[in-house]
Amino acid sequence: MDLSLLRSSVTLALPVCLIACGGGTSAPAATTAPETEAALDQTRVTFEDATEGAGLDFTHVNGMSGEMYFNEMVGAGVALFDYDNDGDLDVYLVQGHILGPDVEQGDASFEPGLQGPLRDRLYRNDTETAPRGSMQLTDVTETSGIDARGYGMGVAAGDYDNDGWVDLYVLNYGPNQLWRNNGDGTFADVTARAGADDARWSVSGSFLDYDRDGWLDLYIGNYVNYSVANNVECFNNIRTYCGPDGFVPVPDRLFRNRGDGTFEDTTAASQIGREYGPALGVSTADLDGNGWIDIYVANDLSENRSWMNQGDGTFVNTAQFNGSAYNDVGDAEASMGVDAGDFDGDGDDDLFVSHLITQTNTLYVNDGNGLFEDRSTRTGLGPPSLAFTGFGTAWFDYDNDGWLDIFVANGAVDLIPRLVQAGDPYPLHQTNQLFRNLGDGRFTEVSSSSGSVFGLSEVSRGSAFGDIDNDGDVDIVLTNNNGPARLLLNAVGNQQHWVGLRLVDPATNRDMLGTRVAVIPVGGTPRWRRVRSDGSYASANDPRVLFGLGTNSEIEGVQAIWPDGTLETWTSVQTDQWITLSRGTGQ
Amino acid sequence: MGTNNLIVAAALLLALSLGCAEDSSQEGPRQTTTTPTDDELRRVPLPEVGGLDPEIQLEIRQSHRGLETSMDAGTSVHEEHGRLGMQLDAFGLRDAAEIAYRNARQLAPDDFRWAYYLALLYEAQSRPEEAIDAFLVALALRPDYVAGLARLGDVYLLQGRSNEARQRFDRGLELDATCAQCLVGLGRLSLQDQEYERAATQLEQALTIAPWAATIRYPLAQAYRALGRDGEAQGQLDERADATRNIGLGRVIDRPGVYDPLLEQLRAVAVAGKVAYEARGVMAAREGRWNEALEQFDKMIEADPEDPVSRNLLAITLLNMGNREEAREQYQETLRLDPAHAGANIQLGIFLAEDGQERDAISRFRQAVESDPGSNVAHLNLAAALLRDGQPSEAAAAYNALIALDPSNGPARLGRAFALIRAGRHPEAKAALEDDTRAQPNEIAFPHTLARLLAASPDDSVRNGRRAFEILAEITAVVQSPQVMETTAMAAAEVGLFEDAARYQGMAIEMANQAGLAALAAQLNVGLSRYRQRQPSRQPFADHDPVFAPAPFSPQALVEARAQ
Repeated sequence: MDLSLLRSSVTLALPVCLIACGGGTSAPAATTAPETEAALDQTRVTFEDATEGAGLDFTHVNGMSGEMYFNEMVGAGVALFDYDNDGDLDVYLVQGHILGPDVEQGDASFEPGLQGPLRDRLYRNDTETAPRGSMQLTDVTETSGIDARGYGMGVAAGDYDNDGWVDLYVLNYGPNQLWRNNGDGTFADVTARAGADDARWSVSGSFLDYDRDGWLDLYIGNYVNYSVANNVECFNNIRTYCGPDGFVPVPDRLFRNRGDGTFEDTTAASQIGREYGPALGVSTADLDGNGWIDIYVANDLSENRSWMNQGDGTFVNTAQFNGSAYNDVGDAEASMGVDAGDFDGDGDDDLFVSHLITQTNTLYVNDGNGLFEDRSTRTGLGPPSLAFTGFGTAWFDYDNDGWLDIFVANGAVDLIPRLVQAGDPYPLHQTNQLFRNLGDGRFTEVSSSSGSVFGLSEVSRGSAFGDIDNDGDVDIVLTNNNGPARLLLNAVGNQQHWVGLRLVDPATNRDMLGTRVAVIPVGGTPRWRRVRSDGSYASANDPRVLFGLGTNSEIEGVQAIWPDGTLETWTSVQTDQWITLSRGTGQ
Repeated sequence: MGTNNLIVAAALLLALSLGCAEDSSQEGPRQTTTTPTDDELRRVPLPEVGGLDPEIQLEIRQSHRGLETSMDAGTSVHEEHGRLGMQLDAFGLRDAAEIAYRNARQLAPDDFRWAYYLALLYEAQSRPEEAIDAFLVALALRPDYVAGLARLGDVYLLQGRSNEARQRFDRGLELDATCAQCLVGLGRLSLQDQEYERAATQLEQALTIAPWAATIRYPLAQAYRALGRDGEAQGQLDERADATRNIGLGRVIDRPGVYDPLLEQLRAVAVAGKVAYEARGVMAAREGRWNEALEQFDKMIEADPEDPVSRNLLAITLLNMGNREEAREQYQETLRLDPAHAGANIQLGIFLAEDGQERDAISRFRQAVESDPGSNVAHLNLAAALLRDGQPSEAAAAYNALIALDPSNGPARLGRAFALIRAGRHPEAKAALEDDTRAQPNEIAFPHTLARLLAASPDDSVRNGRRAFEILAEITAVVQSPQVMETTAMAAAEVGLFEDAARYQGMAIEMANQAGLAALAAQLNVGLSRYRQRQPSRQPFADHDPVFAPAPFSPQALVEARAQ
């Protein structure tokens, strides 16, 4: 025997499509694009900047001091989650601080004028008590017990202890923190007790039930082995921020929930530790339709990984073969944000990954069996992204026409020479983008007609998506590196019909992350979405699912495939409202 | 500064002769407007150049001052604008460069270069529409410029303008049948159209022309996959992965390109002197143009005879040209200048190992590991040399060091198993192979070695013939070789099925003979006699088995050496 036996090819066994195939390949019976145009009030802007009015006074500080520490321009994220179980989404924002030896915040070379200590912030949604028609977010950090003063990157949200209260996992450059929700408005740092620490540079994370035991496990996307103490200088003709290629990536981590409040590190046993790159984005979805949730990891300037769940506690990375490792040219791109969603209505989840300037954002279209094709150019999503560096992103139906659209939060990572020449104090800013799904496999950019917020040039990073005002359309909370967080309220979605669903286990009142749920339109094929809080970039989304119904005010019913594979159906579901569907209450 | 200026001047002279002389014979839209005066041209702002190398700063400031003087006098010419544009462009100062190029183009609308450089600038700035316009203007002046056609095709392709892209790629191929970039473009278009057979053919052709361009393997694998040729798809992906490993620290995989003299001139401005020779030489070497690489590296040494990097590059080139002895001299010269040079230590270690001087080779490899602890090649060679030298426990430790660094390194994992077996540490070998099998389930070598250990280890606590059989049942469904058949015979003997063992061993001998492996066949005959005497095997591998003497791992790719 010799080394030639290595690399012997073994045909990969590709799991067959077990679910969602019922959706077939026909398009959902949603309203067509022209009808939507007619239905929407064209005089209204799509998104309104409600930041100030709502009291969202958070400003991210990266602490830049001229040393160009790599991590300065990477953060930070935001979570939308209902921490007080009052039925509306609260906001958690991740903070940075000045870096380096013997420095104070006042030494920052560009400091946005923030008062008070630098720490993550929790804002309670008090819209119920606010004057009608206005949003009210109240900073409750002090009373929440959350004292997160690490150099923050991202946040994940999920009820890991099944007590019905959503917990937070904060990812840092440095030790991470698991904040257990005590159910009384306060949180406790249980990181050590739960065995969930990771002191490496983490950016994005995800709560998922990968072993289908009813307890949320935790995936942590780790970036590179960079140290402020060993900072290196990088140049692109002028001194600029370093990229990941000068540093060694560090492995991601998978924690299995033991169900007793603690986690077991299964990185090695699950095979996740076998291959790794500089991870920035994580999205979990059943990509191959075998009923087990998979993990897609967006890596920066390195091949992306598709960790396909084998159903036995292990994962196999099939990204190269399944076509989601590189773009269609075969280049590893600088992947930042990622989301999975069924944009073409064929019943499987497709992947959208945001990238660096001069690279397109990439759309990987799923064939239903977990095999992907890069269709970025053909769909129209690729070309408009070439001039931008994308981070936070999500599939969401902003106009409630039944088709998933795309938002991309942009902001450069290399200093932009033109802005440098102009003396700009933070020359990384770009505008954000909104793409509308035309329902025929193509997208068109609608940024310029979607409100003045799309004219703002900022260094956007994280973005979380959810119906923060519970009015039947998806809003966005956006973070800006070294700049203000923004609340973008959707002003048009609820002009069309919709139905909002929260899927819970009645025994725990926990959002059943990983559930696949479909609305069955009258006379149409099911339209599949998934219950998730992960995706985007360093952020956590509303776990509830909002279906746009276009001009259809009725639906035939709702189907859910719970994480353990059981199917449940509800009929007589009322539209234009938020509904909680408890497991076991359907048929 | 003097050297740089000379190079810039030479480049401009060359550009003049290339551009003006040839352009005058080209058909294309001629600007009918009158030549603008200096008053009608935009002044080129001097951008902040403080972050650049002082020599470069000085050059740019001098060019800018010269242009300002000419414009003040109303006597500026397109070469002055264009030269400043190239200098600014080469160092990323593209906003100012754009103005300079535009001025140059206004003054000399028939000069291909300025439109082309503008197109490259727009392309680099992700301004596709303007890039297309500029390419069209340039190609109207030089319709046969294949690099321009291929680039324009790529821009169109990225914009989803398939037909226009196809036209350019087709035309590029008409003019130059070796335009791999054109073939890749056409292959991508075919993939988009879901014409997978055609895509596979086009990409295969591109790969034949540019075998170093590992990126091609990925879309080719996608085409194979769509055609149901999964094995071939996986093969391409494996090749691509190997290319990734071979470039060590870098993650840039070579892409096919078309020789582009104008782009080379721009690069020559960006990288002056020794650096320019190095860049050109490396590019030539990557594309297999070894004579040209040799010429560039010779110039590099001439510019700086005491530079170990130059010596190492020359040595690699000579080695690739088959001139082993001269290569060896240059490697030695590299080490004279930089005793810690990892690449030179590795290659000299390989030479020594090939000459049977294993201990000296080990010293070289140890030095390489010390100099570049992240080098897979250095670790792998050290471990293999230790194993060859009969130091299996030390070899296992060296393999372990590499596995800690690169857990996906299959050869290291396998080498560790062999080292442990050679050291008689069979329980550890068994545990390692079980871990290897879990870590890399698609690599048959691990379960096969494990099966052999289970079948023939002298250690009772390790041997398990039944389990060996179970593993082999899966392996033989995929691979049949004399070695696998020999292992099957060992397993059969271990469970007492000596007739079957003899039969399997006979089959192994027959397979070895058919493959022309006479030595192996002779070795297998010993086992056959043993089974006929109803004796099991208690030696997984003979002491002289080649698995205990892995060949040195030679970093063929030039880029690997650069990384070191």
